[in-house]
Amino acid sequence: MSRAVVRPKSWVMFILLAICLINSAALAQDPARFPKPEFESGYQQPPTQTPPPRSTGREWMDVFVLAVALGLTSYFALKKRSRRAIWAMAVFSVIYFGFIREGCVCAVGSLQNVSAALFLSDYVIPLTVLAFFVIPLIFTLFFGRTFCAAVCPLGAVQDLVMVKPVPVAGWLQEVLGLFRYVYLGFAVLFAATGSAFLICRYDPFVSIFRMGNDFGMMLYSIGFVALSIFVARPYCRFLCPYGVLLGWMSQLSKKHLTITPDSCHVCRLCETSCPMGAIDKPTPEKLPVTREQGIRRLGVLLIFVPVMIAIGGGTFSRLDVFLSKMHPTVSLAEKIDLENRTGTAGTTVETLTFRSSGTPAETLFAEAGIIRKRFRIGGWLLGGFLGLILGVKLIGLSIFRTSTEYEPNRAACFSCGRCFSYCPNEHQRLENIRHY
Amino acid sequence: MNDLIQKFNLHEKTVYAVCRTVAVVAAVFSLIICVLLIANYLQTRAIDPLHSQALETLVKRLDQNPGDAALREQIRALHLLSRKAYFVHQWQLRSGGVLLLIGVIVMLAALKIMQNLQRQAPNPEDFPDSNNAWEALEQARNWVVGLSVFILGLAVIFAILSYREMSGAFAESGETETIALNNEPLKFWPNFRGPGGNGVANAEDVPGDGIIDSAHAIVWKVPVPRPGLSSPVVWENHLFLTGGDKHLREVYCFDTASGEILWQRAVGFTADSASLPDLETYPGYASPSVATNGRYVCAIFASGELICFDMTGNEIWTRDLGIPDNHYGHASSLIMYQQMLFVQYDQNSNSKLYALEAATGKTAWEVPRSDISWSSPICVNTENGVQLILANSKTVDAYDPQSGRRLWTLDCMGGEMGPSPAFAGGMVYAANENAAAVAIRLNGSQPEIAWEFDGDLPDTASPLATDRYVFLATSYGLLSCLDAKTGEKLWEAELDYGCYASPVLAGNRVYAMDSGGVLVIFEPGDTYQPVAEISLGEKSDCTPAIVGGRIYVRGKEYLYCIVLNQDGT
Repeated sequence: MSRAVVRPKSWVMFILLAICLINSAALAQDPARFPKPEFESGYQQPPTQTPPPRSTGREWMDVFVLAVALGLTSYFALKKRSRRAIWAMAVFSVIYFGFIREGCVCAVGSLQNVSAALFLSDYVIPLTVLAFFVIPLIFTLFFGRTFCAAVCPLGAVQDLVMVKPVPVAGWLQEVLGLFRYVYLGFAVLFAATGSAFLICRYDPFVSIFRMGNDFGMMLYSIGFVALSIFVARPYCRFLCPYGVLLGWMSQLSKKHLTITPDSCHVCRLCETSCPMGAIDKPTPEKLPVTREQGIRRLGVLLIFVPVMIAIGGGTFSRLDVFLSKMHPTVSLAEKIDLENRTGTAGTTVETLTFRSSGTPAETLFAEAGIIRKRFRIGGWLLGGFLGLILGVKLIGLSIFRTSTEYEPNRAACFSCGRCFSYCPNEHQRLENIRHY
Repeated sequence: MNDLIQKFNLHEKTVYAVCRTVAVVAAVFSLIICVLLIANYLQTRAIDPLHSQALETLVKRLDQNPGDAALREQIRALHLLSRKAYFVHQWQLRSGGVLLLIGVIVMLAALKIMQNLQRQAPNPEDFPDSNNAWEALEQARNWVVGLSVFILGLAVIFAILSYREMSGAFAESGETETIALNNEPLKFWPNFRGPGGNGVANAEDVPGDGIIDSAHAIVWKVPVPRPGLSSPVVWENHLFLTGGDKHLREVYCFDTASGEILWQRAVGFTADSASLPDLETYPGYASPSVATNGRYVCAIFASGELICFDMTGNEIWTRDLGIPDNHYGHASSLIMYQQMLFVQYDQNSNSKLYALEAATGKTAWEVPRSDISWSSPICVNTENGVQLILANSKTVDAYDPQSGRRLWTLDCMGGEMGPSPAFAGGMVYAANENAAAVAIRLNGSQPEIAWEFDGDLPDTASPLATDRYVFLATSYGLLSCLDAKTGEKLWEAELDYGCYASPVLAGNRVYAMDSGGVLVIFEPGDTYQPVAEISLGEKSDCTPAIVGGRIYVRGKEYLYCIVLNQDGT
């Protein structure tokens, strides 16, 4: 099948090039906030594994680049309908947001900053981080998930390495997709309690962007990249917690990418074009159950949802002891408690440091007790949220929506534009452009 | 890709073959680099320049023979060498990583081109049957139910396992604290005006009435190092006071048995000490009383410095709330409920009510307030649950201590509000000079004013309420008793001096300290029934604390312990 090419205009390339040059220059000018000590012996400081702090100007520059990249990608996906331009944007994002910015701050991780800012009184979120969280959501509300298409470095890197994607069965995709909600719930809980930024800690691609990490994380990253060759965007589809929010926004989006530029002729050519399984097919005309049966089932499920929320909340609230271990204060309190009970002291650096501070263990235990109680409340909310999600999912799977044409599923479609070239109407459109 | 092939007049099969070769070479290259990287990584892990065995041996030898310059040089050289080796390995790892990345990119690019060249036009006849959409939904539903059960089961298992392994002091700390805070304060005097800040001692062993001679009643008196108007707060054998001036504020812990100072801690962490207002006269820098829950003791000063110690005087945390915009200086005392410390930070602008975690000082919640005041919060158990009740120069407000939600508000006060509210028999009482004394009947979230009294009113001393009576002590020395139900004045008595200290109740006695330093004791009743007068011999404007049958009073310069029992206990 021949594929038509729509080249991005030269001004687009100019913008991207200018952004790279300005940033490179800014990087060269960016002074270290805390200069490293200089050794007379000529000793060279090894590079650190985490990115150095960036100047405020550069952070705002990143926000600007994010907005421009989102604007361009939306334009390429919705207006120009150019898969090649979207691909080029993905390359740019991997280079800029991935390798140059070393994957931080990313919109996915900013979710935790927002959670911490909402629940921790002593946490202040930088405006630039807030911008990274909000801007993609706003764009999604207007244009669908164009952020996922080519601006998110995590999504872009998976998209670029996707060589031979195998289709995932519909039911499996639905089930695996639920893990995004679980991950979202835990990420918010741990960020809101000041325990950990789970998303950053287990980011599968940051080791690659920073060209280093501990051995386990490197293996994890390599494994994810290898998986991404055969399973289309596994992180985006089955784990990305920010994708949950983007999916909600996308369902409400004012405009969205379409498979066909015209009306769908149900030729079926695009049916297997999406490796992410994000195309909704026309449904059979005959419903599997009668209307009365469907209403009865829906009624049962509607009653069942509050029950699931209550069961989930009650059960997860009892995970307070288990989950609070993630908090450094609780972890330290448990170690001190164990040392006190076994008659040992200073078995770890943390306990040694704590004991040398002179703070009474009682104080630490009281603080840890308060944190544990927060986890009990947080567990309630997390369990309730998961109960609600599972209940709503069951309802969603029980409502039979009829469709007569092929269209992208607004919540699941990453607006990557792979399906464009499969539509004969698209070829006709390109032919028309060439002639006129 | 096809466009490029056509453009450059290439043969598809040739391009495919070249790409396949490139992909294979790149894959082999990447694999080799990968193996080398793993080997290098394992080697790097073994090299630890800080804990080299050879180096440690040499260092031990040097310890035995410190003057050996050659050995010292040898250690330095070996250390430098091991560090160099370590960083060379690090460099190799990084360079290898870059090479691996390049190899993978080349391989993937070649594979992508091959894939594109192999692409064929889709043929719908080869597609799987699409008429099984409903079956797929059914299958997904079953799996979602299965997943729900799995997640729930996993959560139950982890919950059971984690609760089983809990033991020790830390495991019990969360529960015991709540119990302690709910019950123990009743025995002691944990804050200004006693339990709940309500002016009523709950101690079973109230002061007796045997000794009425001042000389014999005062069992000890000790000087307080710095001036202040904060009233005594007592927990077990610890009595807490604060004192201070513009340059230094202090917290004192006295032994209730002897009056000996157990510990004394200076507070002066505010960076803005020079800009403190001039409060050397009334009311000074240490007017607010401390609050304790038996584990922590917290103090606040007119400087906005808030500090927390444990019972042995170890500093736990500090907060600088900023110098309040307050023309007399901050005077509102602290109060605790469960794990929370409450700070009524009313000022001319930016008034707030803070709830802080007592253990950490972190803000649990804060709510804005509207007007200035010098009154203190009370925390009482109403029929609608525990309420934190505050008064300012306009309103009386109640808050939920857990969430900070305002439960009700009533616009019934005026003037410069110094007296704190009182609570008894389901009614809240508030009073202030230039306003009125009001009784507020609590009807859920719709409280209503039961009666108003506009006779002689206090401007500093808080009202004392029982189920039957409300006592008001004015700054010009008039002591009034009102009927709690109707607001009718039952009697009045004239004291020698004015009252700035709040009267308190213990058992069947009311203890009112006048500013001349005379503790007036009388029985509550329809008529004035004086019992005794104990004179300190110096002025006093501080509210007494009554614990364990003993009365603790702060005078202008001294702290006193008064015992009225015949046996002197």
